[in-house]
Amino acid sequence: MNFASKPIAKRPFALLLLSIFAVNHALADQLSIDSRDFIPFFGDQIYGESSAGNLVCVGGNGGKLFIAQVPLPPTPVQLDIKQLAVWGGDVSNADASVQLERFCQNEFAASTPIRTIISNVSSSGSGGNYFDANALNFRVSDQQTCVYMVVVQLGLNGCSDSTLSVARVRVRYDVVQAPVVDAMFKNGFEN
Amino acid sequence: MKTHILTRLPRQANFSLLLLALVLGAYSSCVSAEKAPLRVPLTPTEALNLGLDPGHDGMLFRVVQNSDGPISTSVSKGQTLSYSVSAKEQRGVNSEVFLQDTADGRWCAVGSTGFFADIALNLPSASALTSMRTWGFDVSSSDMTVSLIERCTPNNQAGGVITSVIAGLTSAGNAGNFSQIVPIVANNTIDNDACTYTLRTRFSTPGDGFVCAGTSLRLQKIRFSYVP
Repeated sequence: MNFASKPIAKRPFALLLLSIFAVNHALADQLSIDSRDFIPFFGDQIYGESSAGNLVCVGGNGGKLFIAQVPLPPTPVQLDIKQLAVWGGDVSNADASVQLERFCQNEFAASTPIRTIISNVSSSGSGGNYFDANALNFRVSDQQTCVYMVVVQLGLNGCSDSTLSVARVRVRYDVVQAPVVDAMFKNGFEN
Repeated sequence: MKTHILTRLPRQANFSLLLLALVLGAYSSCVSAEKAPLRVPLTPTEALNLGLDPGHDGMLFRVVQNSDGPISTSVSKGQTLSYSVSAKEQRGVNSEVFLQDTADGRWCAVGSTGFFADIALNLPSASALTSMRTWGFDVSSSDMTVSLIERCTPNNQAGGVITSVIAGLTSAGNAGNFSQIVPIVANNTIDNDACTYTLRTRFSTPGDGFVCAGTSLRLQKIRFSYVP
């Protein structure tokens, strides 16, 4: 049997496969932010590493906020953020909280940054190593005007020292791809 | 009566599918054999020299790199891309590391009580690293070491961090500007799903009587070659 000799229009299974790829084609990808990517929110904060190499704040009255940029693919790539996940250590009564935020400004004019909280996930319990995740569906198509950041808070009321740490934060997303209507005439050389 | 799809295919097609499965199976086993990195546990001294806690027993490794490995020999010219990170991206491992810099590079001030500084390495998932090259300045009797460190957690569940040192470079001599390269052939595939990658710099030779060598030891740039 010569598969190539049969027109594609007479092959329903192939058509079904093609239509799935053409209509709803999204590429899942992810990025991870290590605890060592985070910088203190305030310049005089004392911080360090746990024995596992995770980010910890130091000193009961010290600062507990840390921030890192989320290096999403640049425009014109569109994304649907699907999950915010965090790993770390928690033997504290308090919890570690991770917040995904964006700060947007006008593209070609001065403006005050507008902050949007996109998602939040916290450590649960106090049993040691933790993993917590939050599912979401947030379209990103504004990388030219917005920066995406992750803010970590280690403890609610003051710093919890080495009892509370963050190892890494992961952002999972789908890269949105335009439907392929006709590859022959969408190749960038036609029209 | 329902008929299984395979039974409706001609005999030749069945044979082709079987052959394809065998080839794919053999290929995947070859690939997994090629990719299997040789990891050896870090000694307590090695761990301390990298700023890692030796008490984190059983979770610290280094990857043995073999320059005759499969990746370096299979990559053709023109297939690799470069990715550079500036030393100015460095952040101290704790708030006791005092970093300063000029156009000639970034250094750790003599008064520091923390040894190490880190840079995040963000590369696309599934990229295969092939080499790491450093640029710096060394007029010190002490030397500077840059290490590529991978930290992985179990995927989608709680668990301890497994740390692996993938590659390292130590400045040699004290003639001024230097550039060095190390091939990376084992455990070289970026896995952003389970792992993170950072570059840790130590601004002195372990055993020296000081924490940081100051302005005589500077890091300027680190560049990776990789196959996307």
